[in-house]
Formats: sequence, structure tokens, C-alpha cells
Amino acid sequence: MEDIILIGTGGMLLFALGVIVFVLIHQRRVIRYQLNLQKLRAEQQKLLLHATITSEEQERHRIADELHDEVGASLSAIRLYIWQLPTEAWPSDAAKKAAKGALDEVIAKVRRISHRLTPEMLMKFGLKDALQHTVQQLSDSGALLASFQSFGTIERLEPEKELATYRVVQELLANVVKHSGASEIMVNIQQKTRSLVVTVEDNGHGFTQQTFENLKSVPGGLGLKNIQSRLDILQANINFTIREPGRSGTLATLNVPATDTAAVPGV
Amino acid sequence: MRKQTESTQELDRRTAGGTPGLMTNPSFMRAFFDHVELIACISFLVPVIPGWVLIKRMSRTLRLLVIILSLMLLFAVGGYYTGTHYIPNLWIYFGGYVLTFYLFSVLFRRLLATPLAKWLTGSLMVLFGVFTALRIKDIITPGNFDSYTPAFLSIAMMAYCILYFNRQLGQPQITFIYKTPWFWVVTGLLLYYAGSFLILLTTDYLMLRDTVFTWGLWDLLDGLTIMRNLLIALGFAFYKNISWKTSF
Repeated sequence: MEDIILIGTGGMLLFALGVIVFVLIHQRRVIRYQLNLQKLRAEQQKLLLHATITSEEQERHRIADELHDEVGASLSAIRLYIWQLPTEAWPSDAAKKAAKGALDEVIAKVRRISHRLTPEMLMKFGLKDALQHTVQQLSDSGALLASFQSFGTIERLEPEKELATYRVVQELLANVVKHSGASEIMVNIQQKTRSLVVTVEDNGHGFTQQTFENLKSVPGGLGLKNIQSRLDILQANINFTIREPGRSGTLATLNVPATDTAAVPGV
Repeated sequence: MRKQTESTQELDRRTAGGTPGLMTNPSFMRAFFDHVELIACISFLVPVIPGWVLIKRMSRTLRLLVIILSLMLLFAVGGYYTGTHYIPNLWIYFGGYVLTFYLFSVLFRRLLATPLAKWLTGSLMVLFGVFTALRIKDIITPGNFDSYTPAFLSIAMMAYCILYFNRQLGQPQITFIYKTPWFWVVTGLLLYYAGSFLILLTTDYLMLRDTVFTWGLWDLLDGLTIMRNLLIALGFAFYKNISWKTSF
């Protein structure tokens, strides 16, 4: 009897321990499986995002080429024909000058749009020069007072990363011009050991991180969604703060990891 | 059914003042046993004190657990002084088992909240009621200890614990199970009731024998009690990691 009690009790305890160990091991396996599944889903989503942005960029490139090669060339040919028209063909000299002026303006606009769609400067000289050029253009437009500063030697990133970063800054600048009511804007770029930091500072109404988080999830707000998509691809982060508490102005800090952790397949 | 063969007087002589069958002839082993039993009684305080401290932050299910533990503490500590363990009053000791069973059944019914759990707890509660009613004559007989009722309690508790783990396996896994308080509570209960099942089933046999082997078994029972209480207290230690307003 004593042996039965002893062996039985030991057996019951072993059974209970077995149940507990089984549950722990099984649950560990399930969680590991779910984590892998989540990882795969995230990777799939990222690939989908890459594909979307890649096709978007390719479409921009195609439109830019069409504008530059087809529309631009046609306009230049029209300009040439207009120059060749005899003076008698014009109702007045002023009309001739006005037509030429308007045509020149259209050609310049087409070129600007074409360049904006595929930033040649970025491809040739890198992010720093491309941003400087963009800020200069903004300043020249007279919309606001824009300035640019760079700190240290800015290393070149992978072309896809540079393009994604450029698009984010471009979107930030567009938002400042459209919505902030700012009169001044300053863009800084700084190379750090493990990251590239770009800041966009303005003296507008102010835009907080909370507003960014709220707006990017509401229908519409395509610009902010594009920013977020590109941040996801870059594995970068952005932080919006009010420049001085209690006062206006926004400081947007974009932090792009320098190492190629995102492994962007082509943006 | 096993029947008591010794007279009540004889039982009284053998068990006066403590756990049945083990409280006569003081010796080194007896002193050791008393020590372990005292620790087992005190160990109830380990989960009960933090339980009452945190009670306002807990869900109703956890509050119920604290109440059950407090009642078990009263039975364990109060047993000596009220004579609950004393052979003629064994029906009170038995009453503790019945109360514990019904309270734990309600607790697991609330905790699991699945149709299967409701069916199982409901069925076992009815079965236990019928079982108790059938054995009531044995239970209320002075000096008699009904081993089958605590054994039934052990099996039912093991079933509840296994059902809990089964439910956990089917749940969407968000966090590791060992980071949740209920895992430790249920682990403590499962180990205790699995380890004590055969001892409780044979208590009426063992209580008549005063041997080193039986002392060892009572020590084992006390050891399991200590382990269960410590594991439940460990579960309470996880209250910071999880919302205690939820059952899981």
C-alpha cells in the first residue's frame, strides 16, 4: 500500500509537471511561429510598398521624359517657327513679344516640372546638392525666405535611399508652403556616425507629432501617407516638435539610418 | 467504502491537537513535522497579504481567489485552536473541502468563461453535490474522515487546471504564458492537487498509522502546500506586467 501511494504520488506529480512543461514548450513554439508569420507579413508588406513606390517613380520618370523630350522639343520647335514668322504676320510688335514671352514661360515651366519629377541634380550630385538646389528654387520663387545649411561631409547613400529621403523633404517643404503660413524656412542636413539627419524648420502655425499621427491615418492626407510609406522603407523616423513651446513654428527632424538595413530593392 | 474500524476514543488519543494520526509521542521527527506544518500555515500569508493589498486593483475572479486563500488560511491556522483537525470535529475539516470545491468551481467558471468550462464546472458541481449527499452519513459520523470527498476535489481541480491550460493553448498568443499571473496560480494548484490526490484518497487509512512513512507523507503534503502558496504569490508578483482587470 505504501509503495502504491509513493509511486502513485510521484507519478501524479510527474504528470502535472509534464502538462506544465508541454504547455510551455507548445506555447513557445506557437509564439515563435506567429512571430515568424508576422515578420513574413511585414516583409511582404514592405515589398508591396517598394513595388508601389517603384512603379510610382518609374511613372514619374516616364512623364518627365515625355515632357522633356516630346512636349519640350515641340514647344522649342514652335518657338523657332514663331521667330521665323515675318513681321507682317503679327498684328503688332507687342503681340509678337507677348507670344514669345508666354511661350518661353511655358517651356521653362515644362522644364521645371520635368526636373521636379526626376531630380537630375540628385542623381548626379547627391542629396545635399539636390536639397540645396530645391531650397534655392523655393527662395527664388519669392514664396518665402528659404535657407540651407549643411554640417560636415555628407556621404552619399544608396540612390534609392537618397531619392526616398529627397521625396520626404520635398513633401515637407510643399506642406510648409501650402499649409503653415510661414514666411521663413530653414533646411539643415547633418551627417552623423550612424545616421543622416535632415531638419526642416519654419516659423508657421506649428505642427505636432500628434497631429502627424492623427492626419496620416485619416482618409485623404496623401502627402503625409507618402511620407510615412517612405519612412517605412527607409526604416527612418520623423519627429515634429513645436520650435519654441508657447510660440509658433515647427521643427521636423528626419533621421535616416546610414547603414543599409532597409535593403531597399529599388524605389 | 472504507469504514473506520477504531473507536473514537482511540482516534482521539492518537490525533489529539493536530493533523489526524500524527500528533502523539513527541520526537525529533514530530518536532520537524510540527515545524513544516507551521511553515505551511504561515506560507498562506505569502499570497494572502499581497492579495489583500492589491485587492482593489484586481478583477472579481482574483478577488475570489484571495478570499478562497484567506479561508484556507483560516482553516489551516485555526484548525489547531478550534479543534477542526480533532477527530470528533473532522466534519468541519470536511466542510472546508466542500466550500473550497464550490468556490474554486465558481472561480474557474468565471476565469475560463467558455461553454465547455461552464458545462464541466456545472456538471462537477452537481456531481459533487450528489456525491456529498450520498456520503453524508459517513461524513457526519463523529471520528470518521471521508477520504473520497477530498479526492474528488483533487480530481476536479486537476480537470479545471488542465482545462485552463487547454484554453491557453487555443488562445491567440500575445505574451508568454509564464508572464501572466494566472499561469503561476494554476501551476501551483495543479501541482498541489496532483501531488496530494493519493494522499487525500488514503487519508482514512493513513490517519490510523503513526509511522515514519506517514509522517513523510504529511510533510510532503505540507511541502506541496508551501510550494502552491509560493507559486500563487509569484503569480501576484506579475501584477505589474498585466492588466489585472482581465482574466488572462
